[in-house]
Amino acid sequence: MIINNLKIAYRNLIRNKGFSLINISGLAIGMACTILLLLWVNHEMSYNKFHKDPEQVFQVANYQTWNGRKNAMPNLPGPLIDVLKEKYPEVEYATHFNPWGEKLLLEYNGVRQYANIQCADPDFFQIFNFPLIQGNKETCLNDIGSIVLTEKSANKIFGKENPIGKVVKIDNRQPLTVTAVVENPPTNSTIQFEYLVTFEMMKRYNKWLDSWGSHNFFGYAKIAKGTDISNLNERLDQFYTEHVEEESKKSVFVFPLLKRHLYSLEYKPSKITKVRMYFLIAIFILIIACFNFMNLSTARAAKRAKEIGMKKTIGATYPQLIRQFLGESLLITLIAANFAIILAHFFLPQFNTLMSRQLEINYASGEFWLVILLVTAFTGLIAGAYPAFYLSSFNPIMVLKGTHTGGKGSSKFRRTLTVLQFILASSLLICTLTIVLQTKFLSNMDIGMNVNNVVMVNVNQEMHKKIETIKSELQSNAIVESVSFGSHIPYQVFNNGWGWEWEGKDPNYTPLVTYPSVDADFLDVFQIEMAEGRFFNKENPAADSMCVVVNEKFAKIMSDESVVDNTMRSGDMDYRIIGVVKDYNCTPNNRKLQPVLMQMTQNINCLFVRYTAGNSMKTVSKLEEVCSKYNPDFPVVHLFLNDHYSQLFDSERMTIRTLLYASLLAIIVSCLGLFGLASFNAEERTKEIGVRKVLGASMGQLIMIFGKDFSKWILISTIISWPITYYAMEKWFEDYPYRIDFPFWLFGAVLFILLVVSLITIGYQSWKTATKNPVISLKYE
Amino acid sequence: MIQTSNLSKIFRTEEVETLALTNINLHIKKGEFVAIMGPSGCGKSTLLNIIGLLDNPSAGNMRFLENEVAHYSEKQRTKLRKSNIGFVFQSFNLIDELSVYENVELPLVYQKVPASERKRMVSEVLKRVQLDHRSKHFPQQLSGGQQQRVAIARAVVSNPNLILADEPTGNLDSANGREVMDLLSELNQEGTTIIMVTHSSSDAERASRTIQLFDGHIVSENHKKTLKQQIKSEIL
Repeated sequence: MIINNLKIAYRNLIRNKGFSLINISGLAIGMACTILLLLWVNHEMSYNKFHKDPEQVFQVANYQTWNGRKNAMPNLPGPLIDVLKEKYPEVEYATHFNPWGEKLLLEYNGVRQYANIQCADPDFFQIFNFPLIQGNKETCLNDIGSIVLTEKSANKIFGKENPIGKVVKIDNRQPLTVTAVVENPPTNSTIQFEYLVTFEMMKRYNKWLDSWGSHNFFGYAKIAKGTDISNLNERLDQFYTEHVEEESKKSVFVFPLLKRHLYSLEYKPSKITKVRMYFLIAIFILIIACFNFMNLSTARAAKRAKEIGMKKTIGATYPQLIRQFLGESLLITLIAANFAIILAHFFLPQFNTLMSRQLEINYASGEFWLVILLVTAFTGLIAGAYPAFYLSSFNPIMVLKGTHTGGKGSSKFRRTLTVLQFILASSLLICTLTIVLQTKFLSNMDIGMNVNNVVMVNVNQEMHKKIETIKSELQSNAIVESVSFGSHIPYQVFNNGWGWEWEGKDPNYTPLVTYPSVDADFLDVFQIEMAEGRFFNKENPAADSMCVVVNEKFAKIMSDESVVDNTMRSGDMDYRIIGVVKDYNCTPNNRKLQPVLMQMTQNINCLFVRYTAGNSMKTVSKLEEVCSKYNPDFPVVHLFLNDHYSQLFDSERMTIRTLLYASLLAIIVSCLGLFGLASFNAEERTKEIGVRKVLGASMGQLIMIFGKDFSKWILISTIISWPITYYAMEKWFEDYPYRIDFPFWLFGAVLFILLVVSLITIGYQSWKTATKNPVISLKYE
Repeated sequence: MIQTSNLSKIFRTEEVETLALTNINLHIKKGEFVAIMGPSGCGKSTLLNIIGLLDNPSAGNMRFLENEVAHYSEKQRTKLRKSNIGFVFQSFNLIDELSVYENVELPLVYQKVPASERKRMVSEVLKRVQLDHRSKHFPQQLSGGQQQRVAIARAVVSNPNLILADEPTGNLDSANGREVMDLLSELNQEGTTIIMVTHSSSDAERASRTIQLFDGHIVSENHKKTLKQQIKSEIL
């Protein structure tokens, strides 16, 4: 019987090529999306599981209390790790690790390149499972002059040479010996590194790493098996008062590494929300694809009716027929699954770009095939269940008499499915286009400064010493308009803090203030305007060393009146406010206007040059010439700020691209559903059309009958999507102080787009029915 | 073989109640060839469906092969039907996706007859309807008469006790119709009981008994004399 059913299924597929194609492609697209999303979900869930005894590995973190609120912070002071290891016996191994690293010049055999140097303790390889290709994991970080490379970085520096025992130089002064080469950290590892030196070596560079007051490191520990972690955390709560200072607002705790990727240190869901969301989307897409399958299968019911009726007459039972139809849908799903794997394979690189991941499909893994099997079975059963029950319940007498008509209930069901799909398509499209408009607005927005025609280089210690000379030499050039140095790129200031006091301030109010260090030429280079008072003195900068300039936002926080000449206090130092600059955007990533306080340069990291338009390359070569002259041992790496600024919107662009793909997919899938509905409708109304034609209806009038019916449903779907999208987008806009007004015109535009697309979709079916010979249409009865 | 007493069938919709059959009392013996005639809508097909265990009566009783079947469930009816009744329809109702051979084989599949046995039975019956050379063809590749012969082959392949034919020649030209009726007569002579609904009086002449239905009632019953009886009456 199975063979018999398979034969019928196969011949049905071949005979109805169009339907089969739509069914299989709809399912294949849906399943491919699901496979890709599940691949991502699986990757996110697999983070840090590859370590040995991963449940014993913990991140060491601390709580700091400000404004009466306990905040979990990953950054630790340098000495903490050693105390932890010494005083808590259950801590078997512990290490420092700086996740960001320091960009330092690395030289080998005369070839110099900037490298991101990170540091760790000898215990590092005892805690984490990063297999060594060469070297000994127990000793490779013992010697202060060691450096451990990954396969990738070893290749970059040494090519085919054996790196072990070779000496590289850091920052032109510190020789380090390569002691080990490790496999590249897998992408599902929270710990990522390329060049690893010892923490002791880093300390030689930065003395402050040894202080309890400076929080610059992450810490990790391996805790003995069987340790009661909540008990350990209770004891760590007293860490500071017991080992550091008697009165402290800080405490220490450990957090399981296995949860680190998905949860915040406060056990709040972070990535896990996205993982759950994407998992739901994956299931949702699959269900939508199933909807279409149901739609098309039930739409074609009339064609199968005779077969069902006859089979029932000669003895097929209800369960036998259900099994047959479920089997058929499983067969189709199985074929679709093959195409889905091909599609997923083909689109994986694009998906990776979209998600910023390097996912791979492991065809050798049983897990992958199990997932495919589960997805196929799920899809086949969901998609097949409704049609199977629907078709199997046909009354053979009605069918064989030719009086069978599809039930009213089932046609309502199909219409509801299509409306739901169009609500989704319309919502996605409106949201996507709104985000496109907002992003366009943001990237073209006046950010209160001009970053065009400004080039930047990083300032190292050598340049720092001669910065004034470099500046004046650059300034003497005709193509250079102005030169400034400071601590940060002005739209990307990550230096902030509390602790500023002023007269009339509520003592419980501690605003987070952003403070960049600048020089007197800062305003000229970035063309930022003064709102009140003056900027720092160019002629005699030293005279303004105890002065500050604030932005309008900060001035407004302090007082409704002018704040110029008011005094501000930080610690035991008093500063005079000499001016207020107009607001500019100092942190475009969160886009919230921050209170800004500027001081004359204390730390210099960047040198900015504004040049006359059209002279970018000349300026760069001049910059290289001057910098190399005073800083010959370090290559000059420049950055055009307008390019850099526009790159800040890459993630928005990526979101837009994802959403555009999702909308496109939703539209395609909805149109497949619509096509199914249209063909069902066409079949159902063959007689009606025949009669109308005999009575003299024109082709256009007939096509209009279909068009009107479907336009009504599209209109209803779109209107339902309006309040949903308006609410969702207003919620989204809350994060943006600079925003566009809600583009209501999109409602009309999206409706128009969907109407056109859907009329094209149903056009073919309507035309086919309308052009049928009425004699045949009526004989069909 | 079949005995009905006061058999009635009422079709109800929300607004209308239609009396399709009223108090049908019928006795059909094994080996009979019964033709049911009457105008459209008189209840012929309804009666056939009830006798064929496709439908239950609204009232009355029916015995089929010693079973009281009037209140049988769908499952029980299916069980009894598949081993005892073969169907032939006006519009053939062959499954387009299956070949001639597979169409004929289908009832045996549902009766779980072993494959080798099926092959033998199907070949035999196809030979009998003279379509063994067409066994790999699909229904659309055959003429109407050939298609109806396939349908008859399908109806008799499992050696049913009863064949129900609903206007078997209705879609055929006279030559093909005659062929089909010859086949049915042949089967009847071999002992198969046949009940046939028809509009054609020439087809009805082949039957041993003709029942006239009108508005759901049996209005007349004509027993055709057997050959023996005819000769006897002629001699007399």
